[in-house]
Amino acid sequence: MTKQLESSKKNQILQVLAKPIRKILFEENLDYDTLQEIRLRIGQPLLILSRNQEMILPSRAKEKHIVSKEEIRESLDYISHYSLYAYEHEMRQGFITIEGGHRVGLTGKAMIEENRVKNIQYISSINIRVSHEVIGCADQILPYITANKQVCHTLIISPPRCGKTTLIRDLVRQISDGNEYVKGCTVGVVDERSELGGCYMGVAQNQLGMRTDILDCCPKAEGMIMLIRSMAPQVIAVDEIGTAQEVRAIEYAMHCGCKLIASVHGSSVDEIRKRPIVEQLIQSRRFERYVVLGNRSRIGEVEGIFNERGSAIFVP
Amino acid sequence: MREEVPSLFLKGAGFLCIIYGTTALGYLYGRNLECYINHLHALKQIILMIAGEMEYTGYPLGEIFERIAPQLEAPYRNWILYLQREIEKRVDEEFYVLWRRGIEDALSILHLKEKHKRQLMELGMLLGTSNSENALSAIRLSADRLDYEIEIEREQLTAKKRVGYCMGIFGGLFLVILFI
Repeated sequence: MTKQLESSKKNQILQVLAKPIRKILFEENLDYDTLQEIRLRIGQPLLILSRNQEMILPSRAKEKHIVSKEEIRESLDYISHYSLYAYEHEMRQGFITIEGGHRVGLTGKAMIEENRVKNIQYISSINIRVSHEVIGCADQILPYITANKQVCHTLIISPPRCGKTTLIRDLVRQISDGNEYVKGCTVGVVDERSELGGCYMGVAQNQLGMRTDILDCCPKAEGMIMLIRSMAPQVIAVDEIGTAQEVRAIEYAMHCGCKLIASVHGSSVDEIRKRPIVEQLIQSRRFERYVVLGNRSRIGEVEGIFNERGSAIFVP
Repeated sequence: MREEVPSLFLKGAGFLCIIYGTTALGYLYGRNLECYINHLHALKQIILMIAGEMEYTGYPLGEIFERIAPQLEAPYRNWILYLQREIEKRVDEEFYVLWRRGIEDALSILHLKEKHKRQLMELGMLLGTSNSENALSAIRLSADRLDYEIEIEREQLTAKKRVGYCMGIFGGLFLVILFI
């Protein structure tokens, strides 16, 4: 990553933090390319996670900085541009996406209305998760999920935190831009939780390619149908499918001639075959490829790629 | 005798000037009162514009200010643009601080009464809260209070204007008598 990009990442993160915390982080000379998390909890020390190592700041001082209520409030003001009301929808999901696609997780007192979280008040903890794209992470699987320069209907199966979102993001970028395996085509992305594009004010902060249209914060089932009607995508990408409505929308999109790239939580094809909702998609051989991810030796490791009959076409 | 005529003429002209001058002052006083009501009315409109944008678009305050600023005239435009710039800077600890500073600096030209200034400042404490319903209720309440104040000012306007004119004329006459 170039110095310029790292510097912009640094600015994006520092500008949303309270001034005393900004000062501490500035003096630490952190490597923002490897920084993963910054955690602020009222009355607790300031923690960061970098290269999977936790650090209490300031690292060189004996007395550690204790995060105050005012610092949390000030940070929230900066995160929301002094307009928390504008992020009610995001806060309901527990996070706000900021410039650069970084995700700010929030916890506090949940306000419940009709058995659903309406908002979060008295915010006591903030977790800034620094966004890192892994450009080229789909290089390995792309030859197996394409045929005649066309993408196959692909389902990515992965347990949580094994890189399925990162993989879909890179797949979308490559399919959209085109390369030796696939002809560049229009991709529609329904990004219900702003994870794929990391949209900030409607603009994707991650690289999703030049032919990608993104529908941010939109329910997947509704979003897929909207995209088909409005943007005529050749490929549709959605993350973490799981409801009957979403499965119906996927079938509809396939009937419309769109190629589907989707992901689902799971550890193997056999496991998801047992789930009533996804089962029908597998039984009817809607998907032509299944990519199974794991984290045995490293995060995002491809454990196998299977065809519609369940036969392995790639095993590492 | 010949010398007295121009002297009397000059005196008369001078007295007339004094009476015209003081009457004009009385008239200006009345005009200022009308302008003040117009200022309050404009502030109420701006508050309602903010509420409308907040309700319809749900945008953050900075963007709302950016959208409404082109529709306004100075000094309101300067005030709103100042707020938008300060929000982007992210240096003030609270929105209320920059809202208050905006009123004190950019709107100082309006010479708002202390009571009205306080009412407007109070709104800054509630804007940007975590709940849009609360923020909207606060804005509407503030607009209603401003409306009430406009009504009071308007009711007093005719009487105050009349007093202003009379004071102008009688003040002039008094000065003339004093000079005679």
